[in-house]
Amino acid sequence: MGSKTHISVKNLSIWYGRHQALNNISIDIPDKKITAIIGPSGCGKTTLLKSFNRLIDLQDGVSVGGRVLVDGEDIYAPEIEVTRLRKKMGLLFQRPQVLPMSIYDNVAYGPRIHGIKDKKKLDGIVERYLKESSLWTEVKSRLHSSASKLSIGQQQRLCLARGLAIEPEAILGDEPTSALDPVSAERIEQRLLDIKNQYTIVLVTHILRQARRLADYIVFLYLGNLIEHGPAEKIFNDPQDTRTQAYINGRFS
Amino acid sequence: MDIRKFLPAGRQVKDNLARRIMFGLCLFVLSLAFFMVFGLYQRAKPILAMRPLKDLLFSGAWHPTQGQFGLASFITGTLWVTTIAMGIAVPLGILTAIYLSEYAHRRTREFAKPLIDLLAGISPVVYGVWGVIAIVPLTGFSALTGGIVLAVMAFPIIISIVAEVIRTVPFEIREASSALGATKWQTIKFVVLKKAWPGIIAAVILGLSRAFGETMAVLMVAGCSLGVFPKSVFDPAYPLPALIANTYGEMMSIPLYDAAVLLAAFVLLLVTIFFNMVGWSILLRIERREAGG
Ligand SMILES: Nc1ncnc2c1ncn2[C@@H]1O[C@H](COP(=O)(O)OP(=O)(O)OP(=O)(O)O)[C@@H](O)[C@H]1O
Ligand SMILES: [Mg+2]
Repeated sequence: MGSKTHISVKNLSIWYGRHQALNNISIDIPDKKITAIIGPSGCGKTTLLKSFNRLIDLQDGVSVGGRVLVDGEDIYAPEIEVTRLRKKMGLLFQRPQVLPMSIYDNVAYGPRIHGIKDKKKLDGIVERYLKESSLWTEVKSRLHSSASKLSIGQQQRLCLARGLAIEPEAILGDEPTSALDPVSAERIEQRLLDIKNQYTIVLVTHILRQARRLADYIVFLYLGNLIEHGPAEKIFNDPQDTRTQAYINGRFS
Repeated sequence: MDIRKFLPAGRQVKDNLARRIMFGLCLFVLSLAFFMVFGLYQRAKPILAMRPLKDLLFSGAWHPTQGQFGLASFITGTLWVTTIAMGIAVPLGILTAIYLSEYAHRRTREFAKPLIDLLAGISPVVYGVWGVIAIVPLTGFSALTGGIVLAVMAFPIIISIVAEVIRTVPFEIREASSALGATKWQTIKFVVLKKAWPGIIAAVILGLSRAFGETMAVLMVAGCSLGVFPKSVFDPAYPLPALIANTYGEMMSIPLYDAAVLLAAFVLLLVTIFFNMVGWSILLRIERREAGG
C-alpha cells in the first residue's frame, strides 16, 4: 500500500487460560490510516485490539505468544514501560467509560497523570480537545459538573477528547459507536475521518457499512484466525476467501 | 401502572395486609429510636434541672457523694480511645482492604476473607483479655491501650466493607484509566477510591460506632479509675460506656446519681447520632456531587 507501518503484529497468539482466542496472527497496521477489524462475534477482535496497548495484561490468566511491534519496538519485551506505551494510544470502548469526576477532570486526567500541573496549560488542553471532539460548545458552561450527567453520545465524545488529550499516535476504537444513537454515531465517525491524517486509527466494528465508509484497510478475523486483510476496496470488491465473501455478503454475522 | 389492579381479590387483600404490617413494623422501629432518646432525656432531666449543663459536660469533678457530677473526664476518655482507635484502624484498614482486593493473589484473598470475618465475630471479652495480656504490658492500663484494642476490633468491619465496596467498582473504569497510561496505584487513588468513597465513609462510620459504643473490652484495658482526668493518651481513661456499665444499678440511693448516669447514656446516644448524621450527610453530599447536582 506504499504506506509506512505503525503497528506490526508478528505470529501473535493469545490464550485466556487454556482457551485460545487468537491463533498466529501476522499483520501490519499502516500509519495514519483507518484500519477496520471485522469479523463475527467472539472471533477475537477486542482481544487483538487490546493487545496493541497491552490492556490485555489486565485480564486474569492471559498468555501471549509472538510479538507486537509499535514503531519498531517489541512492546512485550520486559524493558518496555507499559504506561508509556499506553500513552501512545487513545482507546475508545464499546460503551463510554467516563471516570467518576467532572468533565474537565476527565479530559485533564491523562495529562495530569503524565505530569502536567500548570492550570493554564491544562485549561488549554481541555478546551482544545473538547473542541476537537466537537463537544466544547455543549459543555463549556458546565465543565466542572459530573461527566456521568452527559448523554451517552456526549460521553463517548468526551472519551474521545480524553483519549486525544494524552496526545497519542494512535486511536483504538472497540465498536465505539455501537451504543450510540445514529446522530451521535455519525458525529463520532465524522471526527474520526477529520483526524485520520494525524493519527493511526484502528477500529473494531460489527457494522460493515461503517467499515466501508471509514476504512482504508480491512482485517478480517474468523474464530481467532486471520483470514484475509488488505485495502478496503480490494476486500469489499474482490474478496479471495469464501469465508470473507460470505461475511461481507451478510451471510453470517 | 399499578399491578395490584390485576391481582385477584384475595391476593390483593394479602398484599395490602403485608404492606400495612411492614409499614407498622417500620414505624415501630423508628419510634423505638425516638422513645430511647425521649426516655433517656426524661430520666436525665432531674439533674439537668439542678445543675447547669455546662458544669455537667465540662467539669471534671465527679464526686457523687458530694453531689458533683462532672462528666468531662469520661467524655474526654471516650474521645481519646475513639480517636486513637480510628487513627489506627482507618488508614490501616483501608490500606489492607486495598491490598487484599487489588494486589493480593486470589488465594491469599480467599484465605484472608474468612479469617477477617472470624475476627469480626469474636466476643469483646476475648479482645479484652488479649489486650490485658498482650498490650497492657507495653502501654499500661491507658487510653492508648483502649484505643489499640478498639482499633483491632474495628479493623475487620472496615476491611470487609471497604474491600466489598472496592470490588463493586466496575472493571471497565479501571481499564479506561489504565488505557490512558495511569499506573495501578494512580488508578486506585484517583478512580477506584473516588468511586468507592461513599462506601468507605460508611465503613468508617460503622467502625466508629463500634469503637464508640464498645464497653467490655475498653473496660478491661483502659484503666477506668475514677478521679483521674486523662490528660494524655498514657493516662487511664474511663469512657462513657464503661462508666454506665460499671455504675448503673449501684448506689442508687445517692441522690441524682441515677440521673447523672442516664445523662451519660443520653450524651452517648446523642454523640452517636451526631456522628452518624455527619457521616451520612457527607455521604449524601458526595452522592449529589456524583450526580452532578
Ligand atoms: N477475559 C476473558 N476470559 C476468557 N475468555 C475470554 C475473555 N475475553 C474474551 N474471551 C474469549 O475469547 C474469544 C475472543 O473474544 P473477543 O472479546 O476478543 O471477541 P470479539 O471478536 O471482540 O467479540 P465481539 O464482537 O462479541 O465483541 C471469545 O471466544 C471469548 O469468549
Ligand atoms: Mg469485542
